[in-house]
Amino acid sequence: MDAAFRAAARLLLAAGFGITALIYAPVAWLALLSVSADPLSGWPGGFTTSWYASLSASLGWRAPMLRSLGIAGIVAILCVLAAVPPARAWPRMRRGRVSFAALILLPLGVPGIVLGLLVFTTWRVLFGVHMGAWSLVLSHFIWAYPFALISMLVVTLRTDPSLAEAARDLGAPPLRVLCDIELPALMPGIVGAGLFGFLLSFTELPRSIFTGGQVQTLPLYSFAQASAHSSQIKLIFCLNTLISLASLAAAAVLVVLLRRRTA
Amino acid sequence: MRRLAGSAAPLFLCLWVCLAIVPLAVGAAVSVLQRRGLHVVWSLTPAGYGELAESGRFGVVLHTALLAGLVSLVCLAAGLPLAVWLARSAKSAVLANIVWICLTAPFFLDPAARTLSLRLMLGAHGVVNAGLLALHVTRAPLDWLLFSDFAVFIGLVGPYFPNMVWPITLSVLLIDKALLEASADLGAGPWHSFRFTLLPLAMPGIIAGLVMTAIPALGDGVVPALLGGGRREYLADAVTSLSTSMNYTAAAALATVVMAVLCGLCLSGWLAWRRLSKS
Amino acid sequence: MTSAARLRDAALLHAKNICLAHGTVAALDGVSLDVRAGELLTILGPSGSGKTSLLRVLAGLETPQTADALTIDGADMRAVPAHLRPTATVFQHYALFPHLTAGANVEYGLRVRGVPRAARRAQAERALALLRLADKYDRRIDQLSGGERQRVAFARALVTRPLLLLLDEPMGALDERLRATLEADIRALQQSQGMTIVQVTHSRDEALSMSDRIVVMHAGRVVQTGAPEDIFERPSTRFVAAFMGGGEPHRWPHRADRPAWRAHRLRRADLRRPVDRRTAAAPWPARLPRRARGSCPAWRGRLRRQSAGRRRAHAELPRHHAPD
Ligand SMILES: Nc1ncnc2c1ncn2[C@@H]1O[C@H](COP(=O)(O)OP(=O)(O)O)[C@@H](O)[C@H]1O
Ligand SMILES: [Mg+2]
Repeated sequence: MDAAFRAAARLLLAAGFGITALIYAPVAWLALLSVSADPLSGWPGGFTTSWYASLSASLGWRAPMLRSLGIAGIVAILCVLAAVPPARAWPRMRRGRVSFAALILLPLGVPGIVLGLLVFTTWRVLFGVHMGAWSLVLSHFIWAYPFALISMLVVTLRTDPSLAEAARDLGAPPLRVLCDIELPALMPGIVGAGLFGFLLSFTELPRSIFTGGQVQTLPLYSFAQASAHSSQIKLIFCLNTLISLASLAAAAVLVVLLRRRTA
Repeated sequence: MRRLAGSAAPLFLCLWVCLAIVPLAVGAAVSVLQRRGLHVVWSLTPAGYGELAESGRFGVVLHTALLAGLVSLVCLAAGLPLAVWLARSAKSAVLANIVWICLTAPFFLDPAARTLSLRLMLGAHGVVNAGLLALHVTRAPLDWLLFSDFAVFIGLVGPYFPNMVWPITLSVLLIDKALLEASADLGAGPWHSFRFTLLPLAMPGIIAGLVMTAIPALGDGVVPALLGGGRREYLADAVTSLSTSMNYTAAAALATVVMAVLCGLCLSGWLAWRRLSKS
Repeated sequence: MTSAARLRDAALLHAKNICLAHGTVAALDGVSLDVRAGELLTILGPSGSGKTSLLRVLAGLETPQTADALTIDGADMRAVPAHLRPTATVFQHYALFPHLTAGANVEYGLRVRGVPRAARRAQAERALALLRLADKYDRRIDQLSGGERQRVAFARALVTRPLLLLLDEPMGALDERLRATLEADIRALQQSQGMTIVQVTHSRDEALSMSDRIVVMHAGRVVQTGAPEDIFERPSTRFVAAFMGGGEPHRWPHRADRPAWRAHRLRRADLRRPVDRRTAAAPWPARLPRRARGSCPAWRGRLRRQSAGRRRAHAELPRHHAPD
């Protein structure tokens, strides 16, 4: 029994590594194609940086890019501001933990495209909101907030509450306790919540399709180009190679910070 | 500060309910209203569901749900050992950190670009077929690699794999090491320790992982659009086509069906877990 | 195994030259240990001296860097993983499974051995009843008090009928009363079931009052091994002398054939007695509890059988206590 179990576990672990690699195969291929002469053939070859040159010359992607950056920044700030207080209060919460968590996690349980549609109909018809930058921010917030909250909770649940109590016992006023003791301890969670808010918003597509109105974000732009087999695709390859590198760096920061606290 | 928190919390919850929860209820409500042209009339009718049945979209929901279920089961099977390895037995901190980074970054990759690249790899003249031909695995390029359920499956497994591994790893990290030692000390081999100690203690993470994998996979629009080939309709295609044709009652009915299916799955999963943990 | 047929003095556990390092910290530095079948051996030492590490090596939870020998009941244990060793541990912090009830915790060791449900339930109930927890079978662990948790951990280890029971500071978190009861419980169990127990403690009094033999550890080494009287009276190093003699003077409990709980009652009654100034400064055994002295021929007989130095101590006994 144990031998079979061990063999199966090892096999599945190998499969896990395999799937992890599978995530990166298309990304690596994308990077290769972005420096190839004819990316749309699907084969790398004929090294060139000309696509990067035309990317820097082209204008079409800049407005969506800047817009996405702005929206993602606002979502990140909202996520941090909204995630810190409940995460701090969580260990002391007596009642309502489960209902609060259910309420926050419920929208995660609905496919993004369905939620996008529902949110669009409700906000547009019931509240009379015009779809645009702010509806994008709000729909992205609904998407990212549960992740931000979870990443904060992972930290607060592992932070010893007696540290703050000790500080209070030693005579520190509440604000000093917050600044000196709690915020440093919560910093990995804050960084995590901010990064989740930023990057989930930055790559959000299914909800944006409905809540974007006339406003185009970067993923909307890429998706439109990709579906239309546009000549801009080569530039999108370049752009996404750069974004992938940036997100790997961001992920590295996030992981190192979170692991330092949790491991 | 406490007073501020006292008033801010209900305000935030109200906002959250308005923005995120009300739409879910509205969906269920709109789905039973009557549609006249582009407008919705305030009278109850199951017509929206009738339209779904006529256009065969219950089948679409079922097919997509099966695919998403398969994706999440595969992710669970491969993700659980990886999560346990990451949380417990990774000998090399460097390797574990690299795997963590690799599993974090996909949250942040642009789905359209990645899927497009996968399409180029899986095509008849793509690198996968070329590789298979060169290795003499096949004589002719495999045509079911692209524009098929298989392609959609491959396209979904990768991006949603981290959604499975992350919560499980966190929940395994929270298990006290002493409990697994106690289990071994009491005579439980690897299988029994896993079955009777690790698995039940990691169950919250596993459920979170299943939810976070199956549900986005169910609603993913990019992968079916770029890899599905249009021969078959997936849930996202149905939602998009219903809403672009402004058929809001049917679209809402579709959304409600999906929510009902998910609630049913959650409920049965919860019941199964309770029976399992009792025995 | 044939525990009844085993000679009392046969070594059940034999460990030789065990070295264990956690990274660069040497936790065990060439420890050798022999445990006789049926005895209660106490490993005594200050915090950080490697007691827990030693127990974990015996249980198979740590792999020592070197071990010239490690046998239990004659079988080499060095390559045997923890779950196949005939040991059971009561952990310092109990390590009870939070997702199981008290009863299910006790049943765990039987469940993984494939014992049918009815049989294992009966055994678990018996073990819980033995520790006076019969009505707590369906409690969740977080609904138990510290002492109850401790006894559940104890029942969980007992029910697998280990050849060797390992206790890591089993009374660490208990108050004085519970401690006394549990000491008596352990002693009674050991005597009635013929169980071999290795117990870890940092409390000198605990070690002296209940052990057959004591192993004193310091900085990852065994510094002295011997009977309680031996160690107390003739410490081999300055460290042992300081450790055994420091602080509150030890009140030697009598080790009679009578049930152990009565001994503890005596001891507690004795503690309430005002300290006699004349004898306060005198060395052991001058401060032997009076009633214990009077009613404890077995204990005296034991002393009498021992060495000449010990006999001298015995001879001093009446003199110091005469005017009490
Ligand atoms: N996991 C560990 N990592 C590093 N050092 C450890 C670890 N466990 C124990 N030690 C060290 O080993 C020594 C012995 O520890 P331990 O056996 O727990 O002592 P005791 O139980 O006697 O208090 C101590 O110096 C302790 O700091
Ligand atoms: Mg210890």
